[in-house]
Amino acid sequence: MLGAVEAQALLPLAARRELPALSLLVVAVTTLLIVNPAFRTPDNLAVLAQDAGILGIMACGQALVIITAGIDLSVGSMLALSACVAGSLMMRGMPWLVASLCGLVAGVVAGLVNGSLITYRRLPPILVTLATLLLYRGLTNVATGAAPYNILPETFKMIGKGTAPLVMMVAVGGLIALMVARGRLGRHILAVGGSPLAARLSGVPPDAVLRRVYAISGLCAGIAGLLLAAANGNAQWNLADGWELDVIAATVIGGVRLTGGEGSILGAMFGAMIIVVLRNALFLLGVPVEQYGLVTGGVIVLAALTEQWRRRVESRQ
Amino acid sequence: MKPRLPVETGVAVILLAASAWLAITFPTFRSGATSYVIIGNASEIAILAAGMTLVIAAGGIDVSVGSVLGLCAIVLGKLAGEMGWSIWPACGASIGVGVACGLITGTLVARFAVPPIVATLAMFAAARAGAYVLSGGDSISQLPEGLISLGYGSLFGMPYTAWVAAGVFVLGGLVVRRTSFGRGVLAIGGGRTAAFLSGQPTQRIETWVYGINGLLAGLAAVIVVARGATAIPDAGRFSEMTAITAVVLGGTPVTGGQCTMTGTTLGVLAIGVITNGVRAYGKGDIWVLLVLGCALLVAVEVDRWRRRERRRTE
Repeated sequence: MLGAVEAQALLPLAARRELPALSLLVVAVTTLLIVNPAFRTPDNLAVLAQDAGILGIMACGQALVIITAGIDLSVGSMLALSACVAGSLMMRGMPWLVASLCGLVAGVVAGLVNGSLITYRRLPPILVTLATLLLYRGLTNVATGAAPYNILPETFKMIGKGTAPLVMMVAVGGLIALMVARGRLGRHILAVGGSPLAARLSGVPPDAVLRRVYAISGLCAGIAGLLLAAANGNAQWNLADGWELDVIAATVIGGVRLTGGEGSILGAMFGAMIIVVLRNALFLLGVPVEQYGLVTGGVIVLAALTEQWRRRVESRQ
Repeated sequence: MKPRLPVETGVAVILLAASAWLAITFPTFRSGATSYVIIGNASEIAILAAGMTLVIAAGGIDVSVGSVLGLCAIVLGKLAGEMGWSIWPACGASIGVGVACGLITGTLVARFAVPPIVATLAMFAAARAGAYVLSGGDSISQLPEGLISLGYGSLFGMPYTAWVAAGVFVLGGLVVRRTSFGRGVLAIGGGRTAAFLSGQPTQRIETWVYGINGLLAGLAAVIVVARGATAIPDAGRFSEMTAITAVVLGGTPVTGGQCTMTGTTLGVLAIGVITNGVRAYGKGDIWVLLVLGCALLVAVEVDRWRRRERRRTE
């Protein structure tokens, strides 16, 4: 029996876990580029880059959490919390860079609270993050009085425009992927996801690793929150309401296994891009927003079945 | 030996504390009319939570019930309102759609080993979209009188809908405790391989757990449509979260293998009282989220304390 890392390295390219997501993405984008002239307008591509970047950053954090066999349902609420902290400080005249940093700190703290409840109190992740999904959203609403923070500095708004979020996603995702592949924390995360007991016996502190993972998820949600607030020119408590399911869908499409121990950050980013590209295609076809779910649902099922098939092929080898 | 505290201790504490606090603060809260409203409002969540208890007991989770509810509501509205079907066949067809949705997710989970949250996430997206495709985004308010009176009628001082919910809970409790199906559900939640090796038809049982959950989503849709006198494609949005919260608050462990229908009933009532109390304070519904989030954590802490107590007595 090989460890997760070795098994992945030895797999032939045809069974790499990012491959289904990548091929779907390439096919979808190429088809749209050829078939639909509206898709290749610079404006549309900029919108795509913006949405994909924001969703992709959250998917990277979620992928880490899911690799540890956990789940983070509170990402949408943490996003709104960070954005509102940053937005309110900017409206009070704080320099945007400092305010953004405070927003990120809020995200990290929120993530650490999740991680602490999960590790110190031994609560299941799905329960803790369900509670904090409600708590953080409620807290943000109450603290801000549901007021929008919509007078933001122009320089801050630039970070959400055009390709900036996509560049940010590549940077964040690249860092996290590098950490998983080469870093010590990454190795520990894979170990804890594979088997917490085995990890502990071989000297990996599972609780410290888990707390860091949830903090990173909070940080990613915070970065996405800043980008989204900058893109909309508005930070409000109801930002990214219900996005947790989109984010989980993106990681699943990207081939991250929900039972933990294995997954790919690159795949999660591809998954986010697929969701965004498909939505954009439906939008250009004139399909009403409410009906996108039929396609998203179909893609999720397809991704899950591919993962099952891949696992069967892998276990036969 | 000290008697063991029941699983429902946590939720009972929260329910009693919330009711007592509100009864002291607001005189109107002590009236029967308020309990009538709370119980009436709680029916649809109660029905969803009963099904969710089974799903969670089997070690799964179902985030699709709210969307399935929306789809069933539109089917009911189309059939009873626009196509002129009589009430009962229309309700039957709507519930049938719910069962079909549930069986699809159940098959994905049981036969194709897709993780429950993924399979139901797909249904969550697809069923809601289906509701919008069918309705074209419009709500249907031309409904037969008979259907609407179902939502407002009462029997022995309780709304019809509450009787339906109570019936679902009694049946659910019996199924879990007294039938081989119920034993199978708990066995799967405790350990799928062990359940399979001890001869349980795990695939069939797991498929039908989701099928039953779909059925209950359809039943809840009938109640939502009857009470609201309209079928809207957005019906049941976020109700999956409320249902899961009620189950967890009630003391059913999310790891599966155990469940308590009484706890879930109390959980639903606690949510009803809290919602009503927040409104009595004149606060927006967002405060409900805040209070519920805290209540969830309190219930879990009480559960931990209860279990420590038990270990000491053993």
